[in-house]
Amino acid sequence: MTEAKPERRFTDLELERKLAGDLSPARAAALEAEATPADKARLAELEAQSAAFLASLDVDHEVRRIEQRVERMKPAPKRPLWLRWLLPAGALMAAAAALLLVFFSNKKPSDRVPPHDDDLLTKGDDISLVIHAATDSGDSSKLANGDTITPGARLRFEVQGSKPGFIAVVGIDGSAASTIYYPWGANEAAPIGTERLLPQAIQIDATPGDEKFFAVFSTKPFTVDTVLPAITKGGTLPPGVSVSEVVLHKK
Amino acid sequence: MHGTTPAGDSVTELYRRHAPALHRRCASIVGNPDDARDLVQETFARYLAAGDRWSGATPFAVLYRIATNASIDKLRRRKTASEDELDPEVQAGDLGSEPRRVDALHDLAFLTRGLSEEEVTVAVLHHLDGYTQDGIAESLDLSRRTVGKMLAKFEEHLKKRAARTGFTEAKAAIND
Repeated sequence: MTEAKPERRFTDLELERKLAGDLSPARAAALEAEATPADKARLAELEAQSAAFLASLDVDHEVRRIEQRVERMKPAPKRPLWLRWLLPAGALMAAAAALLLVFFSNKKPSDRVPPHDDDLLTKGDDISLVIHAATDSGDSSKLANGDTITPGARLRFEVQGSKPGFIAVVGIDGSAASTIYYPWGANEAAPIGTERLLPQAIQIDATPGDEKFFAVFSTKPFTVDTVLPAITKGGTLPPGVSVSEVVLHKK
Repeated sequence: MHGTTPAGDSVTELYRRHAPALHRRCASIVGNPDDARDLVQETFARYLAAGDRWSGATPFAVLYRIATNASIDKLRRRKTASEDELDPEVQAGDLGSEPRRVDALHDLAFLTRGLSEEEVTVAVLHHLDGYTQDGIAESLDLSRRTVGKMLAKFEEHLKKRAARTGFTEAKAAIND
């Protein structure tokens, strides 16, 4: 003999909304009039659970932690226009000086040591994606485009660039599966502020083949699903969106 | 003294009103109350950091959607962190006697990559929580047609993804 299932007319989600004061007036009225004993019992159960949850923690502490996270997510303040021009101008002067030094150098090309490429980055128009790998000693090393990593490697992302805006980091593994690594749990790109080293590390799985990492940046909010087709299939990016790519080989 | 939300409430007030439901939601997906508590913090932070970008939807609707997606993504990250953590035997300890639900959750986490937050929320409600299309429509203030379209898109997405990755067990698992 099987026990009859108590009849429910309202979903848990509607009961949650009722407790949060979020149910529409029409559904709230319907709940008042049509709730079955099973609905009422479940509502009372959820209410008791809510009270127990709030009693189990320090709400002020939780709110402080939330506000700290919000601060970390805030975009950097915009620089004054003259300052924004000053930096590229300085970079141009430095580049010119470097060219002059090379021009007047007496060294033959064959004598020169090729530049150390450990810090090689790939650059989008407005950003550069830098990937750091945790080492056994507890430090981290900067990976270069084309480096080889092993499954289990722990990586952190840094996005270099001076503009405030919104960022997402997407990975595409050897099976062509895409993963949004930052911001985790989100389709919307996250605001990026002065802190350019993104929070949290990821650990590489054992899916064979190269893994491509894309930092996607725009000064305006965007959702990853609007840029993913362009990234995966090489299509056109939406206006104002730039991408920096790093490819790592997996052993 | 704490700040205010885009809707003008205090953060404390918003937390008291919505955190218990969000914690239940996150815990039902990730199976661990401590992870769920962290996800609730992350959910509120993302909601508040976005300012008034959520206009047009109620705070609960937005928070619930963020929490669901954050939890699903947490499962995806567990996959990248350690295959062992995906072992149903391990996760069953957190979720009681629901290893089958854990299987389906991980399958769904894998298969919903690339979908929008709202589509993921609807797919989880339908395939994991067993909500009917009518139930989802009423619970999320969406039309039944919109819910049907989102589920159809998910099915299409699932077929493509399964074909590309050779992933066949998942479909059986989430359709049980």
